Amino acid sequence: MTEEKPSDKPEGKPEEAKPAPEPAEKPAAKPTAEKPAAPAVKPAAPAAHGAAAAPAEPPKPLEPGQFGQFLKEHGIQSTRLADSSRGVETILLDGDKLDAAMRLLRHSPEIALNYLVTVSGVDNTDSFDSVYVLWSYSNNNELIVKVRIKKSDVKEDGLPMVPSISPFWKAADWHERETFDLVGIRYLGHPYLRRILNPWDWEGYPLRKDYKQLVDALNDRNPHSMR
Amino acid sequence: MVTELTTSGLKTDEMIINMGPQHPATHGVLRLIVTLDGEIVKHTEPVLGHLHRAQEWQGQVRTWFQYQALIDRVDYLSGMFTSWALCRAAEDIDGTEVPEKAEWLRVLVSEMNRISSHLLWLGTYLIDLGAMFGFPFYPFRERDKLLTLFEEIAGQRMMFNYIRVGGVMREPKADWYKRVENFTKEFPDRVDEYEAIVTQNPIFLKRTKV
Repeated sequence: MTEEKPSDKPEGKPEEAKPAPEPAEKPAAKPTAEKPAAPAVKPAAPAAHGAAAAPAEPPKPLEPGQFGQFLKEHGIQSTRLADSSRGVETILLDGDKLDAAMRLLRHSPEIALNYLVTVSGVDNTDSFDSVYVLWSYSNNNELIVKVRIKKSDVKEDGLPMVPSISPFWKAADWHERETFDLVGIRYLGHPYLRRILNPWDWEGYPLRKDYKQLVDALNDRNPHSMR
Repeated sequence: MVTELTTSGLKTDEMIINMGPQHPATHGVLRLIVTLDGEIVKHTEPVLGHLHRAQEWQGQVRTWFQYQALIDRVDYLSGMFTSWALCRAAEDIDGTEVPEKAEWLRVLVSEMNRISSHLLWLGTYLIDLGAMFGFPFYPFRERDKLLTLFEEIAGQRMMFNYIRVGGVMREPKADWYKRVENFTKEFPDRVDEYEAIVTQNPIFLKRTKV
């Protein structure tokens, strides 16, 4: 009851005209004010901040293409694709090298891409991509790994096949199920590859380009519709 | 399968129980297929699809501007973030430059959205713990203030559609900033209030501490 008052007060009309320029300047002023402040704080408390700041300094953002280089040094060949629009390195791997490469990227301390943001699938017109987005909190790095399967290599009535990483990376479990459900990529070695979002008896893979919706939900041409 | 409980020596059979798709404590629509052995949950299979609305597919068959109205619904508690994600993607493709003021406004409203989302979490969490009346409404009180602020700039209390490709929908009035500022001033006191009422509450401690 008492706390309602402070929010009512500012509605007072006389003040309305005055603060107009203030908010406009405030957001603009912040970046200039904050940035010089940040370095000024650090030297002031060297003992407390020094330890925390030191590990953050050395692993600067890797140069572009460095993850591919790292994998190459460990005997895993990859192809570099065009960076994402925000400049994230994107590499293409062979399916049979995926397992070894992911373990390496996850566990080697200098790379430490140990956070799996997502696994998803893309239907290009002539191929399927299984996409893995990796993130490193300790190094502030990101990497996108793709495994590409040509549609000409997929058997008739078969699914494109990619080895699963969920046996050693639990986070991939549901993501792979979702990709299987929506894009129709079979993850070999997945412990429980079953549709996760669609009903279990759903036919087809909705995010494929050639997917035909059997029930036209938008225009309601389904004869069994209750509408 | 028959399993023997070491504690009581009682024999129990495994039982499969369907929980959901609606349950008062699930907040969203979730179905759990639970395998029980007596009172022990042996296995749970969550069935998630009840909330699936094929947002990706809908994005494929719509223009950016049509899709903007839908993207708020991906997470209805943080619509600002989801529209921001869409707008940034569209701006990346398009090469649109966003005015600096709009960028700051985006940060501001998203932070407010984050706070309101956390407040709803706190309130509903308390309801889940059994506090049906009283405390859950303390965080909702502040959340309502934020929603009123959102309503003023976006016309909506939840599905804002405020962040648009290339900027934001409209600039708030000067008075609005003043009220946001007032909110930031009074909010720390309110957090202290939640702390006093929640984290020192013996029932809350009993039900959350391991």
